[in-house]
Amino acid sequence: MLVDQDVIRRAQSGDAAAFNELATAYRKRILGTVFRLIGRQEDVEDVAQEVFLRLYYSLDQLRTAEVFEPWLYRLTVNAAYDYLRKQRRQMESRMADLSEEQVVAADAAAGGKRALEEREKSQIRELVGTLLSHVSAEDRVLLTLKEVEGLSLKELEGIYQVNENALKVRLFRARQRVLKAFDTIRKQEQAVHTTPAAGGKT
Amino acid sequence: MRDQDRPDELAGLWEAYRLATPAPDPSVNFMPELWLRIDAARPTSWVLPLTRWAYRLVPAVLAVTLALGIFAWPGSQSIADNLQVGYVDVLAADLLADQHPAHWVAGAEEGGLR
Repeated sequence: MLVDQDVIRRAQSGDAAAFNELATAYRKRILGTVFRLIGRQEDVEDVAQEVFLRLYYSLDQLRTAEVFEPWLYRLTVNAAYDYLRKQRRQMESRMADLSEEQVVAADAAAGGKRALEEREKSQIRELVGTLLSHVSAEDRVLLTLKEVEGLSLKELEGIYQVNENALKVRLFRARQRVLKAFDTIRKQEQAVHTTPAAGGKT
Repeated sequence: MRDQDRPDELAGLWEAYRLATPAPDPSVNFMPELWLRIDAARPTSWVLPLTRWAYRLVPAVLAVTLALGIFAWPGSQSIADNLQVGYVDVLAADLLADQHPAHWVAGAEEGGLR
């Protein structure tokens, strides 16, 4: 735990200073988790604030301070779901939204090692985002928590409150879908590299 | 299974993704903005007691409804019984009700004179 259980108890009883301490201690971790779950840096702070807002108004429902972290993860997961669902609905309008890529392209144009690294990172984020778009928002979050955040099945059980076998089945299916999408993308890339450029010799 | 033959195929990609998504530093406005959102979402002073009262009211209303249902049950039985009475019975009862006791007395006196 990043704070004493006493801080959590004080925050539960409505102590604003204790809640401030709690949010300050966990914000960086939540920002990281949210970033990995939603994959869009520009919306990370907004979603993380939503997590802490929900925490503030639901803290009285927390039975014991020991389960605070799984509780916080749960709120994070729910806020990420809501964001991803909303994002899916706005997919068409977001197709034109290339802000991150535009920024990266501008950086790359400016040259330098850092810009190149950032471009590579952006490509990875884009690839993983594409792969994860082949599964539901729920599976995307579950897969990210397991594979990227590195949570154990036991920890996931605590967050989702379902048994381990159900989680394993769900993870297996989600992995299969992602793997299938990965194969498709790789084949497309191979086809692009092996096919002689149509416009090159004409 | 197919997935078991190639377990680490995506592992490298997940790892790369983890490195490509480091926890961003919170902006200086993170906490002030959070408190603004908390305050904006805070229910007004008169709504909160009303909400609490409403939460207590719902089970009370349910209990009263259930109690009334149980109380009204024999009554509804008698209504059902009444519905089984035939049309002729209803007509006969209606006719009987129309005949005032005074008519019976007058009728009896007329019969006596004859």
